[in-house]
Amino acid sequence: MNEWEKYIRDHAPAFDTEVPAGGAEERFLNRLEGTRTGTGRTVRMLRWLIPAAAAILLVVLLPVRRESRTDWFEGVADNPDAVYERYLAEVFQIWQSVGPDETASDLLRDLTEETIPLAEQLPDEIPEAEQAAILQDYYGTLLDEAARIHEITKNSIQ
Amino acid sequence: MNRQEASAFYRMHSKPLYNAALRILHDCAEAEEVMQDTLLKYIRQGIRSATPAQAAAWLRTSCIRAAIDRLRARKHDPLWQAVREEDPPLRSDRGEASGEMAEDPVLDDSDTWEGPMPDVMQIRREMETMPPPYGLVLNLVLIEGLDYSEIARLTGQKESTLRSIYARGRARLAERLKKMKI
Repeated sequence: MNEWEKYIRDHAPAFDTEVPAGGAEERFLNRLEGTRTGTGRTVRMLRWLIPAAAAILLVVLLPVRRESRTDWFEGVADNPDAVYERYLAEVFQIWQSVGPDETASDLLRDLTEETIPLAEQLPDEIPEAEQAAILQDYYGTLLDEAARIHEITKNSIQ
Repeated sequence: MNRQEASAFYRMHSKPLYNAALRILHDCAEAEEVMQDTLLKYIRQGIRSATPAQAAAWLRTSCIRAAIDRLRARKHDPLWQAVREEDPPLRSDRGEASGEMAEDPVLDDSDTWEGPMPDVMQIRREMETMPPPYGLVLNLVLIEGLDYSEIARLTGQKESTLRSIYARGRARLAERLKKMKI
């Protein structure tokens, strides 16, 4: 690396001078609020479509699904928020233990990321305990697979 | 994260992310969207126990990845075409190219700079007006600090091709910067 390349690298933060158009923060906060409260046509549609699809998937897969190796939600109350929080904590735990392996990290991210979490899409008409059970099944499967990916990549590195 | 926390989070990270996306996309509206998507994704992930440095690194990588994906998704974007049209094929591309081949440029680290360095804004302007692949690769290597293997993964190009593009881009940029001094 020559002198001026080093100069550019050393001054990299000085290149960040542009700012988004006026009102960008408000637009961001509105988007954040919008996805939380489920406003917008797409989100309203997804409110019903995603749970329906997930329910069908669960009915089809449940009988053939192998036994979950870990009870990810042990001690978690029958409450959708509590289940989702445990899920995020477990994902973060796995993600941290993967370390610098980018392939595994990307795989985990692709597997566990949700644009609109199922936890936020379940209709209020479903009782809370029922919602928690659906989420435990759904997120439990994802966590099983995330743990499996972690295990495989860990062994392949050793 | 409540609205106040989200606002503080936005103010802390939005500017570097917006700039990183803008340097890749050269489109203010798209850059803002990518920046917002990245921040929303992070909040949705619920990663709150990460250190600020870890959070910034995660956000930056995700933002760059999203911006490049968007760039690659542009149907008629001649992103890598300029290399093939303007220059003879590179030896490092011999698997894909035919006909006359050019020697891959060799990086010369002894190239010293006499006098004061150009202003950062001048360098930025010059980089922005370079043909897309050169500007993109120079930006990813020099400003974003990515290595070739990472860029190869993000862009789907071979590392050897990227090294050659970088070497050519670097030579062009040096030429432009030297002209500015005259």
